Amino acid sequence: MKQSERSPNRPVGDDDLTAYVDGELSAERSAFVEAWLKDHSEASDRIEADRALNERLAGALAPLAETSLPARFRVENVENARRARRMARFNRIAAAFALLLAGAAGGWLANGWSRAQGPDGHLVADAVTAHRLFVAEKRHPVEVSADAKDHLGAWLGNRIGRPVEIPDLSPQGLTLVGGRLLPGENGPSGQIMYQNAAGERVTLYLQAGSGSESAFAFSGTGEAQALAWRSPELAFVLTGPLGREQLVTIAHAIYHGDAR
Amino acid sequence: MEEASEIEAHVLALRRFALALTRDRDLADDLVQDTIERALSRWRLRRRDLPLRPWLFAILRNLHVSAWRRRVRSPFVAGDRLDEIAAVSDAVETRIELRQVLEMLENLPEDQRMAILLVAVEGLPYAQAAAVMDVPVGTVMSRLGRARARLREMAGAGTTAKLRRVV
Repeated sequence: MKQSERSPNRPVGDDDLTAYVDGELSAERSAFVEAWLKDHSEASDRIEADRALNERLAGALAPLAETSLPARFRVENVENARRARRMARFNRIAAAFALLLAGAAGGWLANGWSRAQGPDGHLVADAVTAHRLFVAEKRHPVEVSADAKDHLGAWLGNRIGRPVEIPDLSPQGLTLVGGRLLPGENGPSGQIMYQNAAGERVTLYLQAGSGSESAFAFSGTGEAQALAWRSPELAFVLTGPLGREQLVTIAHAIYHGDAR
Repeated sequence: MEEASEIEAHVLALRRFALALTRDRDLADDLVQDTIERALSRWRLRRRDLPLRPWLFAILRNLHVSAWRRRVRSPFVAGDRLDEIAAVSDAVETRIELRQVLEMLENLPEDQRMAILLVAVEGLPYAQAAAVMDVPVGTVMSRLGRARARLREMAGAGTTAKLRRVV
């Protein structure tokens, strides 16, 4: 029950005396307690002592809050310190991640295009072998050339057993050269070849998928970086003498075109 | 940043509370900094029914309570730590008085010390002090009553101790 709901003339208790010292009583109740104190000198002395104590504590500790504001407590500085700590943590994680990537790449280099490397090792190895063999071709790089683009897609799709659309990578600066059918460990495979303005060739190797998807997985040596991933329909390996970022950008374009 | 100036307005009072709670300048300063950090990160989650001041004190109090459980006391002698805090003032008398009051507070149980600091020094209404300590108002009042009884005794004994020191 709240103080205000009770009779202002009820007997005075210790709780009243405490609240009276701190000015927490209603005006009515406060007047009643004050009148009561006139006849109770012991309680009255105690109240005096407690009020003096309040003043003493507040007065003695006041200087602690009268200094200038230390720079470390400027909210702006606290915020900056917090941000710097967060960045440091992020950088540590990024560094660890970079080491991991370097380790993985080192593993690839050490193994060459080992067939034992990873679940898609054989796929990547086939793709890279085919890439190296045909990008060097001057006169017959492809079986079906770019002007029969629609036929190429239908033909590869029929042989692989999955619908194949030839990705348009002109926004990425790549012109279609054409494509060819190749034998693969898991049945027929297709290779689609593109070329950029500098004459560098990029190939997209396709094979029937297994129904499950996978994330992008990198592997490669300096002159032929490979990026592999799977959609439920198809397994893809993108190979080319490009930086990883460029390959990822191209792969994204293919992936989104494929999903469309 | 709107919250920056609002928080800064209470920082010195928070620091006074932290100093009186810990009686250790380094611990107190860390506590205040952590309080500001947490207040910034929880700014949007703030209870709108509780004014900013008791909200900040509640954060500091919670941090203090959780830190206090795993704290390793600094190897300083208690007296040295108090001198360090009292050095805030240039006036000798102010320093002596500050030291004495801190010593008196040191002899209170933590709950009672917190109650008397919030009400008598920081001037929080009972309801806000109760919110800071996360207890009912009645508990705040009984802690205040017990704290005052002990402080009255000490203040009585303190006068003679002071006289002895002067002589």
